[in-house]
Amino acid sequence: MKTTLYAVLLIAAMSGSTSVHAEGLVHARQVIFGMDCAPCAYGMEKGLKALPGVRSVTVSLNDGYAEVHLAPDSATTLADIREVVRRGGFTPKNATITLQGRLRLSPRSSLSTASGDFALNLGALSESSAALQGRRVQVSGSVAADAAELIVERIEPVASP
Amino acid sequence: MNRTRLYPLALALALVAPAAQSEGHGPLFGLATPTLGAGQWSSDTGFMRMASGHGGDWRARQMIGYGIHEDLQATLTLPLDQRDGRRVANARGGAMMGKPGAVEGSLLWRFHREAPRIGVRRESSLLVGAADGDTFGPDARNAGPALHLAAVTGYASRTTYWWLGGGGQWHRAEGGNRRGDLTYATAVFGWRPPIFRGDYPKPDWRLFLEAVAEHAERDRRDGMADADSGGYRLLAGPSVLGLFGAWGVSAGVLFPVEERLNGSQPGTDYRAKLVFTYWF
Repeated sequence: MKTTLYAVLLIAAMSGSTSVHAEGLVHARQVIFGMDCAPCAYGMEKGLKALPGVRSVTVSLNDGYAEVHLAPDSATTLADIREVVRRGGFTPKNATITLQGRLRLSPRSSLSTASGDFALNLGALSESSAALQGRRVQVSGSVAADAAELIVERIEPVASP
Repeated sequence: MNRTRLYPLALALALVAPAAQSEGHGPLFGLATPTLGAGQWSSDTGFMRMASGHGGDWRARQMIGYGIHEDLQATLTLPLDQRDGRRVANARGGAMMGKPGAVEGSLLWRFHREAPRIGVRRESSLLVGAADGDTFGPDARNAGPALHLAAVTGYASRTTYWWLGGGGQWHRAEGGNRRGDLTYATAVFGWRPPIFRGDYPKPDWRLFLEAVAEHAERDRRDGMADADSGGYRLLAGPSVLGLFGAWGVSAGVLFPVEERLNGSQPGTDYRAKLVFTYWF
């Protein structure tokens, strides 16, 4: 009986310590200026797929963007994606991203992730976000070309594991 | 130079390049601006025929490119083979691939780049290269080391392309022998037909109209100007470029529009070229 109990507790403890939850960038749609041809897109696709935790990449020449889906706990940041675009010889513009992490509202709004803190501009969502202080949330919004602040368009709680 | 030894070297260079990304490509004969992304490699294998009233010559060349930085590219071009080259015209086999028998190393610096909107790029580049190993004249004299400088500006988009450029190649005298100075200008207009404007990863084809104007000074052999060398040519013609992921193939031909050649040199019938490209 005790042996069985110990085994169950051990399995439960191991499950808890190895559970994976997303904290960081989970999706990005990065607008790119200057890509005109198939090898441009091919190179961009290969470069982005080589980033840690990237699950899928879609590149569009006609609409000028690269869309990246990332695995939970990926270490890849929007800055990493933009650096790949620059090293390919193209210009990264605005991006639409989705992040998961812990919401901090003071001293300024930010999302705390495994890759670091991400500045948030909650705008009209400031009041409704107060109740989510300290909780794990998923935020979506846009980041300007040369900025690091996310202009939040949507914020919702994420169930903790 | 023993070209037989260059085949394994060229093949080895093409094979050992590490995995990297790829970049856009341009015309066959004219100057262009695109550079490889940082850390990227490319391989171009080209076959060219320069036909004239006296027959003509075949040449094959291998070019390896590497992106040092997204705006700075290094290339090394090696001769693979050449047939019937005794009276080879003083001309570059395509502005980027150099003269028939020479080993040439170049740096292409894209000093100006603008991306005003999706799918559009304006850019300008400077090219500096050094070459050696070429021969000239019916007795294949050593052409000596040469300096190559060029500049080009252009526009690339999802529908049209254009590049305007010019340059020169100057050889050092070797014991009373000297290949004549070469100056040239190139113009390229490209068009991507609507049927090929489908999004990636669909195949990407482009049509180009290319023009090359060349002026070569007379060669000097044993300190004397060679009366049957040098002159002026204007050539123009179409080329086509097909791109499929990491592969590219391009083919084209130039015909003479106007020629004023010194002495009894035969006129140009055509220049034809075929290039296979792979981005690692």
